[in-house]
Amino acid sequence: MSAGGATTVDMVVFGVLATLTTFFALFTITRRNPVTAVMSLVATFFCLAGIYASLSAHFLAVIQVLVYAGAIMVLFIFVIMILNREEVAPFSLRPLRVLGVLAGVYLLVKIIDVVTVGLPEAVPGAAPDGFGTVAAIGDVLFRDFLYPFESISVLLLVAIVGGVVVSRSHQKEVAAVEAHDYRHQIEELAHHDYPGEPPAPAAPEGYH
Amino acid sequence: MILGGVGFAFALTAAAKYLGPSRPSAAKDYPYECGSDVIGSPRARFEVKFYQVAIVFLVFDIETAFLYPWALKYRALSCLGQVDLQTRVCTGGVSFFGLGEILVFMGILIVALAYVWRKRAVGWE
Amino acid sequence: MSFDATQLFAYAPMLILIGMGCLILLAETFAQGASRAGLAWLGIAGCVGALIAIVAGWAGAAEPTTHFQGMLVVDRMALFLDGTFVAAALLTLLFAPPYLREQGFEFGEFYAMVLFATAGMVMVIHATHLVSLLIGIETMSLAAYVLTGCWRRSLRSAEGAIKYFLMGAFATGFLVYGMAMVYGTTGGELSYAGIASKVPQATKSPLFYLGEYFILVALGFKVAAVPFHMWAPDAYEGAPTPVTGFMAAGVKAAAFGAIVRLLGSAFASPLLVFDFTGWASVLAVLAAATMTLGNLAAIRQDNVKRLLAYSSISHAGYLLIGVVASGLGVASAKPAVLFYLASYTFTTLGAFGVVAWIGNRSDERLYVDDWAGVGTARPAVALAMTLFLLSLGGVPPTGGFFGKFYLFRAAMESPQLHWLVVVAVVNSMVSVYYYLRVVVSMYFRDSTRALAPTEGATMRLGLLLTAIAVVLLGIFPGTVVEWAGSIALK
Repeated sequence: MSAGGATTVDMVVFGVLATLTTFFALFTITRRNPVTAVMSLVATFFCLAGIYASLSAHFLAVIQVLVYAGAIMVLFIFVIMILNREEVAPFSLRPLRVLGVLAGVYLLVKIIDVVTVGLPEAVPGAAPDGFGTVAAIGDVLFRDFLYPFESISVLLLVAIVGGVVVSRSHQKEVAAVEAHDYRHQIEELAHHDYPGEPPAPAAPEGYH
Repeated sequence: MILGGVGFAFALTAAAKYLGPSRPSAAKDYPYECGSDVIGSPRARFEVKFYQVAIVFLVFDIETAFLYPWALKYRALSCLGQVDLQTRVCTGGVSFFGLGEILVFMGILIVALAYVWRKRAVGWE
Repeated sequence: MSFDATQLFAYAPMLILIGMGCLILLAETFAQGASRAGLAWLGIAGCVGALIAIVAGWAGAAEPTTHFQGMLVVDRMALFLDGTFVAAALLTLLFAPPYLREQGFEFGEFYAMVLFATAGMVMVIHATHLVSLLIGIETMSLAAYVLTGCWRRSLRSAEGAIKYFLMGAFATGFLVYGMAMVYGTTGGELSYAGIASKVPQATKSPLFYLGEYFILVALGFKVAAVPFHMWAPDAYEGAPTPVTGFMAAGVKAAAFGAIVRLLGSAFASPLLVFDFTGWASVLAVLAAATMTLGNLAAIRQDNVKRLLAYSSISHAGYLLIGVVASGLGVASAKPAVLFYLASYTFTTLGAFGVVAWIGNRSDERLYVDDWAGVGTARPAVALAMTLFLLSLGGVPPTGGFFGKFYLFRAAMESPQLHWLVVVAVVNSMVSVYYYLRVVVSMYFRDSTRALAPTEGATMRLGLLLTAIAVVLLGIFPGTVVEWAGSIALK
């Protein structure tokens, strides 16, 4: 909540967004059609971004929309489109379902406990004004965290180049090997193809 | 209130499921609404290039996210003194700190862009 | 905001490596079809430049100085290991070009990735903040995954890379989760000094211990210590052989450097070291398990590459002894670990260099029996390989012998560790058996088929340099330990 305490407007906005988030989250796990489910997940992310923004965590909201609703979801949709198949069941999920329900119930009990009773120890004091805004993040990111900020560009560079290297076609590689083979054969012929030279013993194949 | 919210969400889902008209037909289950026939299995392997595009997009997307706070703080980062909150004027000297740090960051990523660009231009066919 | 640009000079080695990596990428990109051999020389030039920068910075690093708001430190320990990493990269760049040309996948990105991985190792070893540690580890590991998987024609390479990547991603998850717990329980501290100052109050929460051990688990994955070693044999076997040497030496040394630094500062409090749950006892047990399992598995291997992979796991066990000893307050343990890392790096690189040398594209000759007759056909290479294997086994007068000697002597100073030294000595003797199997095959058995190794001038130069380094480490161990000992035992 903002430092000044929650106003009625805040509460209404939060209520609407929270309801929508829950609604879309439920929709995500109940739809059979994977594309509908993914689209509901996108909507969930957007609503979450709204909640972050209303809590003055603006940067988080931007990241949520850009990275999660944008980039990560693109990957999701890719995977779903590509693995466009119904009812994938490589192994039975039933035992896991029981575990899932148990974990869910435990989480629910804990949340109710925390909400009604409060945390066992004092919660850290209210965040200072402007905490979590883009400007505050910028202050930390570009002064205290200058080195991580710069060095992460190297990490991103390695990630991009690595992605291209690992996923590119190996046709060229095969072509290079064939060319090498060809040259090798010509050399061999040039070497051995005169009278008097006994044929080289055939190298036995490796047994691995 | 939590119960209210959760209950409302459940109610909406249930309403969507039970109140909406549900008339399944073979035509609706057909993959293409325009009526085209399905050719081959949908489990065909896709070109790895699509993944490449997705990965490259992801990384540059994250890079963009870093530019938001920088754009907002650029004035303060380039100012040796304080930035006046009302007039937004910098008292004190100007430094190239703000510009320099983003140039280094962008410079390294432009190497990545150049790399991807050239490799793709050569290898897309 | 004023920014002191002069502090960048302290990080010249890292900057040179990154700059040269970018240059190689651009050269590869814009010089299509041109000879790729020139790119390897660019990389070698970068390594030489970085080595010069390290030597130039040595005098100024007598006292540790931190930079970038406590994110990085420059001290003798960091520079010593920097030198080791850059030397490893240099030797890899000497071994790789003939090998890549023979196998038909020589491209510039490979050399750039070696340099970026080395820059990542340098970042890891200078880090005094968990965020800078994370970024260093990720840069190093991402480049290592790519190097493992870049042999596109080989299915084993793909298999090794995917295992390495999945396990590595899992380890990163542990690292980040551990960082979050440490951050929460220390009240927002991520720098090593900050964590150390908050330990007494943070230990009230069990989550702090959980966070500490999560971070150690992540680093355990990187050094391939025993419960977290499953990825190593497959990744090491699948990777192109020069890369295997680079990974087994460089990545492991960097992760050990990070462990030594982290346990020596952030988690150095007696509250965390001693007792049944302290990291000293946990790591002692892991050390014994790592040595023993690594050796037992290595005995059963017929594939030389896999044999060396398991042997590299067992070496992580020996190194952990030194880490434990330094946690128990033995001052000579830290230099001993660093000396061991240096000698192990050269020896491992040399051994994998010979493995890369012996095969060709149609016949990799990876099995012990395939090595028969090398001793008579190519006495110089056989001699070098014998030297490396003896050094790995810890036989005098090689660098490996003194590495083990210093390590065990340091551990003997702590009465609690005597049992561990006994385990380690028994393990060393066992390991000599399987190293000697290769030597016996090379000298005392007749060749089954003609030798057609991957020749290359740079490869020969690399083997010569590693052999000289291993011998020198065996002749002048005192000097190197002195360098390692000047490493601020704060």
